[in-house]
Amino acid sequence: MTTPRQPSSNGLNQQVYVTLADYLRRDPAALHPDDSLRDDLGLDSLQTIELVYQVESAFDLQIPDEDFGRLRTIGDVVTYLGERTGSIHNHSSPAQPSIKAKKPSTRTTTPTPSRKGQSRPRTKT
Amino acid sequence: MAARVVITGMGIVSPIGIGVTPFWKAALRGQSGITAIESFGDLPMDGYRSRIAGQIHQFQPPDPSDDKFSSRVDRYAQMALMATREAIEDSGLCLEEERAERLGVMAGVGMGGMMMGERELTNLYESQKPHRVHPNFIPTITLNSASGIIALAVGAKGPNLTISTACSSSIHAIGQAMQCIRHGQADMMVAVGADASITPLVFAGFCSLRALSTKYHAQPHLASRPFDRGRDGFVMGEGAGTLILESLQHATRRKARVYAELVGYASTSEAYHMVIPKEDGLDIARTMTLALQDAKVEPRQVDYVNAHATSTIVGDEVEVKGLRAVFGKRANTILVNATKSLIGHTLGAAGAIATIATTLSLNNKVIHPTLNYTDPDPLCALPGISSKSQKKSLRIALVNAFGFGSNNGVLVLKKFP
Repeated sequence: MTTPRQPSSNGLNQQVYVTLADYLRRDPAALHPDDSLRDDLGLDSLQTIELVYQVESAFDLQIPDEDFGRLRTIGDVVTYLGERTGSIHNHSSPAQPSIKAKKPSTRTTTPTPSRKGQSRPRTKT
Repeated sequence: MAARVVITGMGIVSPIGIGVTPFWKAALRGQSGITAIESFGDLPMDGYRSRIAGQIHQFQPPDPSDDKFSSRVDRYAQMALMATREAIEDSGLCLEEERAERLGVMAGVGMGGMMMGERELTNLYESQKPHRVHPNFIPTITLNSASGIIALAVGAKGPNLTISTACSSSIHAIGQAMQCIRHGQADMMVAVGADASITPLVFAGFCSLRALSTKYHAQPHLASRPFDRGRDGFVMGEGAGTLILESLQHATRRKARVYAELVGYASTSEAYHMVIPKEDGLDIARTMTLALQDAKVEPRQVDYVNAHATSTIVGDEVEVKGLRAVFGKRANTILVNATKSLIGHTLGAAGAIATIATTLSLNNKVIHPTLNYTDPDPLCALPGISSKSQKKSLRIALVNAFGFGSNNGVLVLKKFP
């Protein structure tokens, strides 16, 4: 496993939001820590895997399968990367108001219903 | 009226045995073929999330000086050729006495010649010498290299096709070979499935897809555990399986031993997602129903299902939903097992190997265990699944296979006569 970078907390937040926004093709300011990757952002399991892959690339680390299931919201991703990189952080996105307006729907695919407690992706093979 | 189609020969190259007899003995005693991958040459395994596979350590391709066919193709096609030679010998077919135009080959291949593909690509970038790409590169990596080399080796001049539908490839190869005979395009078909792509890149790809088991590196034999609560993804395997299909008329005329009759086949798409099965299992159920209709068999007549059951969390659950939708209460009495619990998921070979296991079960009145089914997951448990082999007189059996690309295939086999 490679040595993770050590960004400052604000720098980390910034980098996480930019990475996620880049994959989602959205403005980083439109993302909220409570956004569920599946229910709010409409990501299916493969898209979630792709997003985590982007995060792994950006932060030069490998996220094991047993940790993958923890990453359910944007805030989860920030918290997790904070733990992995040793940075202290808060959950607010770097360029957004404290009270967030209702988000526009970003669902581009039909989300699959979750199985309670499921911690692994859902592939067919 | 469409010709009836029977199975008259079988051959197999698998992680638990090369040859049908060794495979079947190992299957019945519940032997696991899953082992640790030591390394990919100079590439250590540390960076791989999964580090186990159903590898065939004892497979040795024939000496090139003895076999001009094997030496020209990749590992998967060498396995396909080996399985096919066994199947033809097993069938008792004397090819010199048969019309070559009436013998065809239908191959199911998921990944193809990735071993050579990866090697040559690596060499090209390292050497920067395009002229050093092997002249046999293209004919080796084309997906029909197995069906092609088999036709050359056995002199089959009938239909020669390759079907690539990922994990269900060889179910469709067998089904389409059956259709060739039904429709009079051939009297005999070599239906073969093969894949041998436990390679650095393909394996990394499946790891990145987070589709593989990662929890059982220290105990690889526990990793493939369909329908069990502790399952955490599939285990990749390699291998080949071949069935010789013939019209009943042709088999009867030459007094061939008939293992079983192939009576039904269905192919559908879920048109849903490239890698995720539809959660309600209804398209899987629809595929089984269509195959039973093709076979003119009622669900209540089915005794046994060789399930696709890859040991993924959702896949196994969805398949059982499909079984319950088709069979209703009978789902609680039919026997069900998962060949992948023994050998992992051999991708393009999986359907053919499962069909061979099913044919042997019809003949021997016994099904092999579903290995590691020790803590049944309530979401996909069925009374007919067991970690031990089960003896029962069987008449009708289904073989399921589902693949990336949202596709499903089901075969129906009948004991003969």
